[in-house]
Amino acid sequence: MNVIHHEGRESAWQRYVKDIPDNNYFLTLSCILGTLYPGSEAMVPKLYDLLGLNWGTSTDAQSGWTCCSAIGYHGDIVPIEATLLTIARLWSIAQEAGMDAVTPTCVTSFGAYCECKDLYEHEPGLKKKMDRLLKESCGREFEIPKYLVHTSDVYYRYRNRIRDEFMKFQLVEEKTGRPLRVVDHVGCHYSKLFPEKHAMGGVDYCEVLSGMAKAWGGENVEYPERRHCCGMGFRQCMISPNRGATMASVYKKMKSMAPFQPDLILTNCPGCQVFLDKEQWAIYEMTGEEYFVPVLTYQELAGLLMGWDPYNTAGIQFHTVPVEPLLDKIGIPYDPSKAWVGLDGRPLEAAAEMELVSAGESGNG
Amino acid sequence: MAKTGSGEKGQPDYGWRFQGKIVRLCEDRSVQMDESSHLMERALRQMSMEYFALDRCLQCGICTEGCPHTKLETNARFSPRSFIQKARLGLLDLSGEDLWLCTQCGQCKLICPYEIPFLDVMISLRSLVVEQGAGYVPASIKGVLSSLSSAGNPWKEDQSRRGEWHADRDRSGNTSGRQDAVMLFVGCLPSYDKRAQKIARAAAELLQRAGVAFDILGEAEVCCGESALRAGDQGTFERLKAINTRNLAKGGAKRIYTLSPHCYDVMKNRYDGLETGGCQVYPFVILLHELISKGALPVRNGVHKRVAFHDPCLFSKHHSIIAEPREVLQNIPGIELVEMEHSGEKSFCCGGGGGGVWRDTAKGERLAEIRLEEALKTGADILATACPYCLTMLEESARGEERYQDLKVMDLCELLREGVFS
Amino acid sequence: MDKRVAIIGGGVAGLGAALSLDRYGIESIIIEKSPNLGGKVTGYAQLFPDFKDGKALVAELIDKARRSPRIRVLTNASIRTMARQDGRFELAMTSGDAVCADAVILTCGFEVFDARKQGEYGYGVYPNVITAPELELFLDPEGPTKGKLLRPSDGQPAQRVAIIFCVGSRNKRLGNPYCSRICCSYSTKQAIEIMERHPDANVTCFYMDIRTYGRGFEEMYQYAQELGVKYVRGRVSECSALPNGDIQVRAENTLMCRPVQGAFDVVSLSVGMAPCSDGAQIAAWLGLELDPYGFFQAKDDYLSPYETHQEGVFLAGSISGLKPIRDCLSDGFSAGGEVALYLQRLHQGRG
Repeated sequence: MNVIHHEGRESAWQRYVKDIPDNNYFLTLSCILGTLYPGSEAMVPKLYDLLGLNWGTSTDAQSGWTCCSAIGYHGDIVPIEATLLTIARLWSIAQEAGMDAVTPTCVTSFGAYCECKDLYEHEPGLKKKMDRLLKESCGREFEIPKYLVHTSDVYYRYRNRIRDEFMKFQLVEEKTGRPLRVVDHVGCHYSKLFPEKHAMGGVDYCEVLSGMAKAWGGENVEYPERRHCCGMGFRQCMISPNRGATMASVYKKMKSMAPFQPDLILTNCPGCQVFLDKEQWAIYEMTGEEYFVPVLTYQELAGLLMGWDPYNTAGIQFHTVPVEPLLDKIGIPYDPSKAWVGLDGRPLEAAAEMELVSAGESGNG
Repeated sequence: MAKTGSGEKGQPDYGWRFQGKIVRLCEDRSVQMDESSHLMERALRQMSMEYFALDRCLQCGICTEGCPHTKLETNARFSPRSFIQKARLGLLDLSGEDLWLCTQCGQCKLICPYEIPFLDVMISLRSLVVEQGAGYVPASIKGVLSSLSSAGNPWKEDQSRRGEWHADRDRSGNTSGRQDAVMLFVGCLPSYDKRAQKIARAAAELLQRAGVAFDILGEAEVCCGESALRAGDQGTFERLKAINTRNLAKGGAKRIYTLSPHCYDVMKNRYDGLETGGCQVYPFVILLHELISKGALPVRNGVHKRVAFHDPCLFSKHHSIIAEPREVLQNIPGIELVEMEHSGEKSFCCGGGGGGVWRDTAKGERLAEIRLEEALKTGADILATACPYCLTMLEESARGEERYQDLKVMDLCELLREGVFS
Repeated sequence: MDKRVAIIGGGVAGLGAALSLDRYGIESIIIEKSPNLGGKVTGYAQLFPDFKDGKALVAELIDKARRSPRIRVLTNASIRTMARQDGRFELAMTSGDAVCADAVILTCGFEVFDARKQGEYGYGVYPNVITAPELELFLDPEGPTKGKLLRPSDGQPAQRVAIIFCVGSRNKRLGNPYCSRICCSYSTKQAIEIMERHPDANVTCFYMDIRTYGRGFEEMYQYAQELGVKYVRGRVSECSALPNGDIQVRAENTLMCRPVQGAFDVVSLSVGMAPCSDGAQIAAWLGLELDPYGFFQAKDDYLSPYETHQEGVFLAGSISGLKPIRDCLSDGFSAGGEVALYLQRLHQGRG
C-alpha cells in the first residue's frame, strides 16, 4: 500500500534508540484512562506479573501516588513549581519502594516527567529548591531518576517475548493471511517533547508503537498526517468553544488515513485514545462521513492478541467505534451477550434500571 | 452502531454536546496548490505576458504602503502585492469583492521599483470577469455597463436630454462652424447630474466671460467610455469611443477640452482616432490656466477663504498636472491655499475611480472619509477639486455629517466663477 | 627552482592551482582519492548563472593539466599519513608511495548535507524525495535518464516538482546555522532547466530568502519566473507520501499568511554544505584548527585568504565554505600565485 523504502524507514528510527531498563518499574496510572477504557490499565499489572517483573505501586492512602498535576499545568491552572513538587514526591515514593523507573500509563505524565528532568538539568539551583520544598511539605527526599520510561516502552521492550511466549493471535486477517494495516498514533508528549532523549525512534518515525505492530504481525501505514496531533490538548478539549479544534484535528487525520484503508489505530496515550475513538462518532454526526476505524490502546491490543477475554478483561465494550469487526478479522472469538454483564451475572442495564426503580419506591437516594 | 452512551431516545450524548450546545467543526485554512491553481496561473501569466507583471514583481510590498485602501481599517487586507502573489500562484479568488475595490488611482504604479503597470493588470483581470464571466461582478457595475452599452450614459437617461443643462444659458457665445471654436466635452455627470451640472454651467459662464467660442456635442455626445474601460468591458468602450470619435470629427474642432480628468485621460491615451484627425485634447483647467495667464479672464472678486485643493488622481498621478490648478486658484484674490497631508503626486484617492463612484460603500469604509479628515485638519473652509467624480464622492460623504458642516466641497470652476462674477 | 607542491584534491580548485603554478614554472602533484579528476563539477551539465557547460569546463582544465610536464596526477590515491619534517611535507600514500613537497594546497572541497538527518522530509524513506545532486543526475542529458525527470517510485515522467531550499542550512536545531551560499542559485538553475525542457511542468520552489546575488544571478532569477517557476515563501514543515507515491508538501505561504499544501511527483531537497570528510584527519596531521562546523579557516579572511596558520599550508576552493565554481577557480589561481611567492621566499631564504 505504501510506497516507501523499508531499509530507509528502518534506519531512520534507529538513530534514536532509547535505553529502556528491563525491570523494577513503579507503575502510576492515568486520570482518565481507567474511567473510560478500564481494561487498559487493569491489564498492565497482569502483564507485568506474567513477565515476572519486579514492579510496584502504592495504594497506601497516606503515601499513595497522586495525579501528577500535569493536567492542571497544561490547563494553565497549576504553576510549574507545583507540578515539579508533585512529581518530585512521586519520584520519592517510587525510589522509596526501590524502583528505578516510574512507568506512567499516561503520556501527559510521561511528558511532564521529561520536562521536569529537563528543567533540573538546565536550571541551576532548582534541585536544591525542590529538595527544600519537598522536605518542608512532606518530609521526603528524592533523586532525579536515571531512566524515564513509559509503560508502552516496557511493552515495546518485551514485544518479542510477549509474542513468542504468550500471543495466541497475530495482527493478520485470518481468512486471507494479509497483515493488518496498523496506524500508529503516538502521543505528542511522548515523542515530540524530547525526541532525541526520551522517544523510542525519535519523532519523525517513532518506533514505540510501530515496533509492536511489526512484531505482532501487522503492517504500518505511513500516511501524511501521521504525526499530526490528535487535537486533544487540555486547552482544546476541556473548553467547549475550543472543542471544534479537537474534532477538526481528528477529522484531518481520518481523512488523511482513509485512502490507506487502515484496519486499526494503535495509541499509547489516554487522551489520544479517547478522542480518536469518540470524535469519529461526532464527525459522523456533523458531516455524515463514516470512518469508524477501531482505536485500541497497546495494552488492549496485547491483551486481545494474548487471548484475554475481550469484554471482561480488555473492556472493548467501552469503545465508541466498535472493535468487534476487528476481532472478527483476526479471528478472536467473543460472545456479544457477555458485553454488559455484571459480576453477578446479570445484564448491567437491567440492573441500573432496577436500582432506579427501587430507589423511587423506597424513597432512598 | 456502538451501543455506548445513552441520552434522550436515540440521541447519543458523548460530551461534545457540551451543555446542549454543538461545537463547530473548525475549518482547514490551508490552500491547496493543485492542478486547477496551476492552470489558472498559466492563464493569468498568458494574459499578463505583455506586461510581464507577474514575473517582475519582487513582492517588496512598497505598493501596499502607497495604496489608499490599506489606510482603511476595514480594507486593510487589500494589498496590491498580495494580489500579484496570489495571481502568480494561481490562487486568486475572482469570486470576491477585492477585484472591485481598486480605484485605479495609480499610486502603486508610481512607486513600484519595477514600474509594474498594476492598473493594466487590474483591467485585464476585470475583463476576464466581465467579458468572460469568470467571477463576480457587483450588481451596480453590471447596471452601469449595461446602461452605457444601451443608452450611452450610466443612468439609462434619454440621449436627447444630454445638452439640456445648457439649454437655458445664453447661446450667443456659440457659433457652430466658427473656425476658432473649441469643443467642450462635457461628460455624463455634468450633463445629467443635478449637482454636477453646476460645474458645467460655471464652465460655460467662464468661457463666455472670456469670450471663448465653444461648442458642445449635446445629443451627439456619449459617455467617453472610461468607466467601461476601467471595468474591463472592452467591447462597450470601443463602441462608445467609435461614436465619440466620429462625432467629434464631424464637429471639426481642433481643440477639445474635457470637464472631467477621466474623460481627458481616456481620450488622450486611448482615443487614437483623435490625434490622427488633428485634434488635441486638454483638461478644462488647462484652458482656464491659459486664459488667466493671457489676461483674458479677469478675476477681481475677493474670496476670503482657506482652500485646500484635492488633486484628482488622474491629474496628479497620471498626467503630472499639479501646478496649474493651484495657479488658477492663486489668482483669486483673498484665497489662502493650504495643502493637505497627501497632495500632489501623493494625493489621497477619493475612492471614485475604477468604478468606485458607481458602487455603494458603507459609511466607515470610505476613502473619501479619510480625505475629508485631512481637509478638516488643515482648517480649510473649502475643499476644492477639479473632477466631477471627486466632487461627488467627497460631497456625498460630507453630507449630513456634523463634522463637515463648515467644510464646503466645490469644483474649481465654481470657485473661480465666484472670483469672476460678483 | 626545484620546489614541488602537493595539491590535495583534484577538483576545479585543485586543477586551477596546478595550472597557476605551472605558469610560474613550478612543479605540482595533484593527489585525488577518486578515480577521476574534476571533482563535483564533472556532474554538472550546466553551471549557473550563465548555463555554461560544466563538463566541458572540467574537460578543458583536465586537458590543460595533463598536457603540462610539470603537473603530475595521482588518482585513486589515498594518504595514509602526512607530516611536516624539516620544513618539507612528507606524505605516505596507502599504495606505499611517498610524496615529498615544499608546500601543500588543500583543495578537498566539501560534502553535501546528509538529508536523512532532516527526517521530516522523508529522504531515504519516500522514493520520490531526492536531493539536488540526484536531480542534477536526472537533468544531465548524458546521464542515466538522458535528461528526463522521472519519478523514482514508478519511472513515470515527473510533471509536478517541488524544490525545497535551505535543507541542512540555516538550521540551528541540526547544528548548521550557516547559509550554504549557492543553494538558491543552483536550485533556480535546476528549476529553469526543468521548465525549459517541459514548458507544462509545474515547478514550485519553497524558499526562505532568495540569495541569488551578484552579476547575472538576479537576471537568472527573473528568467526563472518568466518561465513560470513558482516561488512560495515559506519553509516546508514536512513531506509525506500519498498512496500512489505522490509527495504531499506542507508549508506556510508567509506572503499570503496561509498554510499551503500540494502534491508533487518529485521533491528535490536543495542540500547545503558539510565539511569534507577527510578534513578532520588532515587538520590533525597538519596541526590546523577547524571552525566550529568543521571547515578550514584561512589565516586572515581579508589579507591572507589562502594561507593557513601553518606555514606552507594553503587553502583554495570550497574547503573553507561552499562557493560558486567561478570563485573556486579563482581561489585556485590565486593560491597558486601565493604559493609561488612563498616558494620564492623559501628559495631565497635558503640561499
